[in-house]
Amino acid sequence: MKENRIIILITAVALVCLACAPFAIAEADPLDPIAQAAEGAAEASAKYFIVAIPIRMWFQYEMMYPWMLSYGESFINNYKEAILANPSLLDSSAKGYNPGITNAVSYSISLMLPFYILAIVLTGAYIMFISGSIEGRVKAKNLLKRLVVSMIFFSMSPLILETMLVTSQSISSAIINQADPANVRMVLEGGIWGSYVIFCKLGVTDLEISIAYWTSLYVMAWLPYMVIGMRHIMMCLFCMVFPIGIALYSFVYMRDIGRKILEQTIVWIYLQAFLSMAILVISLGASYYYLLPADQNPKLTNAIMPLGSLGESLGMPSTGYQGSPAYVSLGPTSILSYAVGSMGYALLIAVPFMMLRLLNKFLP
Amino acid sequence: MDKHKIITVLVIAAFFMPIIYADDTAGEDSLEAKSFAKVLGEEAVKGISKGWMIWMCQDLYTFLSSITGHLREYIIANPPIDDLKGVQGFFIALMQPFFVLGIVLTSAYLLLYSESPRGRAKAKAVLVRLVYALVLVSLSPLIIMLLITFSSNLSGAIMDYTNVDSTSADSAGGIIEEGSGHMHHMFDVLTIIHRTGGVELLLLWETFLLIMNFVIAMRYLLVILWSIMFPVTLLLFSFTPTKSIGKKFLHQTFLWIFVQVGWAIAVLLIESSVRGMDIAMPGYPMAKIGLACLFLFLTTPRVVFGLMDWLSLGVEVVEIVNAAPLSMGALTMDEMKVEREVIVEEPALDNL
Amino acid sequence: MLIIFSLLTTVIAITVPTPDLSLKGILLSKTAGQTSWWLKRTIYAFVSLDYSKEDFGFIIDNLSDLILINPDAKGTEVMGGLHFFLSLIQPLYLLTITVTAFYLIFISGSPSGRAKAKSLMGSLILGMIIISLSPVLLSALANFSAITTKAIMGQADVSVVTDNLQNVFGAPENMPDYMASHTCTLCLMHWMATFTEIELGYYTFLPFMIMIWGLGVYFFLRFAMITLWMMIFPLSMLLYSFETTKAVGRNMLEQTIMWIFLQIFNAVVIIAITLCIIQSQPGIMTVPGVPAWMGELLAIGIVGTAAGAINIPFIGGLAVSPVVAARLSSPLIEFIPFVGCFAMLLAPLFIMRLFKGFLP
Repeated sequence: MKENRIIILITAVALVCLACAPFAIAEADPLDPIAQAAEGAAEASAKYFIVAIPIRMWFQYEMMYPWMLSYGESFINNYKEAILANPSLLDSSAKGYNPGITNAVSYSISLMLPFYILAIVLTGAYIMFISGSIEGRVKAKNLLKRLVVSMIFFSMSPLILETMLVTSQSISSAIINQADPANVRMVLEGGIWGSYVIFCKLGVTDLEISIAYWTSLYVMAWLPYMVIGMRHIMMCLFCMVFPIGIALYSFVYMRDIGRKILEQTIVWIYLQAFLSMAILVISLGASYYYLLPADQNPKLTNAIMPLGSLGESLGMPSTGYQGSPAYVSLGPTSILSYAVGSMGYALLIAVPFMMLRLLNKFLP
Repeated sequence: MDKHKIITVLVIAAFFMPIIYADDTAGEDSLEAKSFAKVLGEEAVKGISKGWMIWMCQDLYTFLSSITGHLREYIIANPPIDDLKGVQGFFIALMQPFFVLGIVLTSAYLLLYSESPRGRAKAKAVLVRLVYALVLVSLSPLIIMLLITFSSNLSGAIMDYTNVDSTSADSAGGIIEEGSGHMHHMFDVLTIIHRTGGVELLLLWETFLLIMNFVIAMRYLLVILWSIMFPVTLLLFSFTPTKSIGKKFLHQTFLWIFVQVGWAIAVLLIESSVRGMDIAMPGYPMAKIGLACLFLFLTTPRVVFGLMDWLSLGVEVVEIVNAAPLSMGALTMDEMKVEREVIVEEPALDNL
Repeated sequence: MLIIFSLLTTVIAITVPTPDLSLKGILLSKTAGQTSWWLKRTIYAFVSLDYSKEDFGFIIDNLSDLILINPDAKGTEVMGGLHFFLSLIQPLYLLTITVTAFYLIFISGSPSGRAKAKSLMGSLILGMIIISLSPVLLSALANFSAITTKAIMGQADVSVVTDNLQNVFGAPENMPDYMASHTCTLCLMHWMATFTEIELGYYTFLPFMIMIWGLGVYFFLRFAMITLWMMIFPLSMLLYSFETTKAVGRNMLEQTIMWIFLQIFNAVVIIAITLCIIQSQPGIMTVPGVPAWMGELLAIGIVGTAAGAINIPFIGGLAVSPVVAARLSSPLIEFIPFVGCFAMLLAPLFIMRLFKGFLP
């Protein structure tokens, strides 16, 4: 049982520490150099080896390993559902049905509708009753046309949004189904477990040199979800102001703002397609593994002793990344798999932001 | 209850064990009176710990610096085009209905609605452009193959002028290895003196070598991305409303494919300038040359494509020198931004 | 040197208080144990200063030469790359000229089209001539820049700067006394930090590292960048000839010219520092490293620690050399050379910014 193992480990540590106590409590004979040296050695080994190393190993293998199995693997196991999830505005039976957004959209519509009506009435009144110059009448007629058209789109905003969401989902689904799940798993696991192997290897002796890799574990595990979450939040925000964007787009002086709102709504909704494309790229990126022949591809295990890792020294062979038991031979990571895996995760944040920067000013 | 509580208590107890080492906690690094023998004992054990640390970092160094022995393979690497064709076919199939719709609508307009000559001329131009675009999009796999092969061959041709395949000290790989190796050596010595004495140097060479490895992998992935998006790029480029986006996408496609030419030029540059410096000023310290060559390898592509001035280089240098672990991520992000100057804003709205 | 120093002070520390010189006596001596505390920090300070000031003497001795060097545009290193790019670009030029000529002669387009083609033809032919002459042209540019730099540097004596840099940083190769080079003004800051807390010492050796290694990297970087721009000069000219790529080509040509003329700005910075140093009153822009009264206490403390009588942590390890004690009592850190080092590295950055976009 795992808990028993932990208890035994901790008890052993405590006993060893207690065993060192006699050296200190009965302080070494100040006139015996050998006893003094032994005392110094015992104190230093207690501080650096006997206490510190088991605690670090416990942290790496008993705390971080289950974390890796659950959080680290979480995105790899669920990337499809995570990326394809979309809120639903109108279909109450859909999984992502979000009445809150629909209510907010309706509220925005009800907010702007009086302005529209007022504008149409005033323009109509101007055309019919106030005979200004021909230029003025032409302008007013164009304005009326534009107002009526935009009012139609304005009233249909929930439908338009829902259409965009559905099309985005279907495009993304088509793209993401092109990706080979085994390859995606292989690449992403290479990244995060590679980082874990290096963290374990370096962290046993001194935690400070392995902090970078430990941080990258958290970044890799949580970044995709943060990107997807950001998309959801921005999408909800822009869905709510979408009707206002349409309204502003039709008024000349506020056209820029309206355009920006519309563009941002479209970009944030269709970002899903780009995330799916990133996953597709990650699956195709598995060919990076064949850049170098296998014997020239340097590998790194968490071996901390001449014979290999602790487990190998005790006769337990490595069984890949999720080797069993934990504090033993973690499967080798190669430089190619580690590099392309880390960059696969980086791609998941790079692609959305790249597209956000490139896709602006595309509406007339 | 609790196994977890028990475990926690035991862990905390074990952590505080050293308190048992009573009064004269002449612990490590204190000034209290300790006999020489005790100090020797302590230092011997600490030496084992430091040696272990150095050994682990040596493994890491071998792991990360392996790139210097295989520069040619890494630089010439391109994704296999056959894998991409299938996916490009998917995107082409996605685009084709739009084209067909566009051609049908424009033809219908031309044939059935004969409006002003200007309208007909416009429609004709649109039709011609649609047909061009359709042809281009259908040929996009071939165009990408052409670009990638050209880039790969050009990089190979440039590197044939260099010594990149050998591992001698005057090859680019050897020079970069010398630079990072010297820093690793400094780390070793400083760590022997004090456990955490060399951590900044470790972070420095580790960051450089990691970035080298990562940037090459990132380019590989981005070439895949832009290659499979090439049909979309061509489509966007062909229509006036989306031409600006299409231009940006096309620009990015070309840039990321030709970055490898920039790296090949960097290899040539490193070898030429080291030889030149040796002639102009013999005795110039190799360690500093090695460090400069690490910067050069990472920044030459951006410089070559006219995208960067020295201020950006300076900023990157400062970032690298202050390499905290997390800035590695920031630097990697920045490396991906291959961008031009801001496009001038279009003039304001059209009037009624 | 380091080993002798360590052994000597260990022996002094052991023998002065403890008359028992047997092995057992030495092993049990408490002062000897305490010695290791400051010995570790002393070694760390020496080694880190050694590493960060590596080859500083070379840079100081050759400062004016380093500012003046330029790659030889006619030498084999640059010519190799240049030939390669010429062989790529010249056929492109020929092709473009042929196509444009064909268009002009046979295809009668609109007048504006013909005018554009004519101007393109002109710029192409001009470009072709320029790139065929590129070694001569680049060599002339580099020589012009070097001559101007030399003339500027001749205005004042660079050794003023180098001597002051020597005082501030201390170049081990140049100083007669190894100890002196590591106990010069700025090094004292590092010593005090190391003995206060060794972790602080990691950060105080960074200024040395950044300045000295920065200078070393900068000179080579400039050399390498000029080599690069010389090699891809044909490409820059080609891109400058066409309207679509004119912005890129302009950027590249500007960079070529600015990197070559950077040495002039370096020379100006050096002259500015020299004049500042010469014209300033002694003691201006100086910071006392350690106040005089503290310096005397330090001297007492050093002797006292060696005798095991007093524990003053942050000075515990400095050598008992009287030279050092004297230095301790009134050292001054001169900031002008220190800042001058920074200026050597950073001022050109800002000047480059000012000259952005000067080509048509």
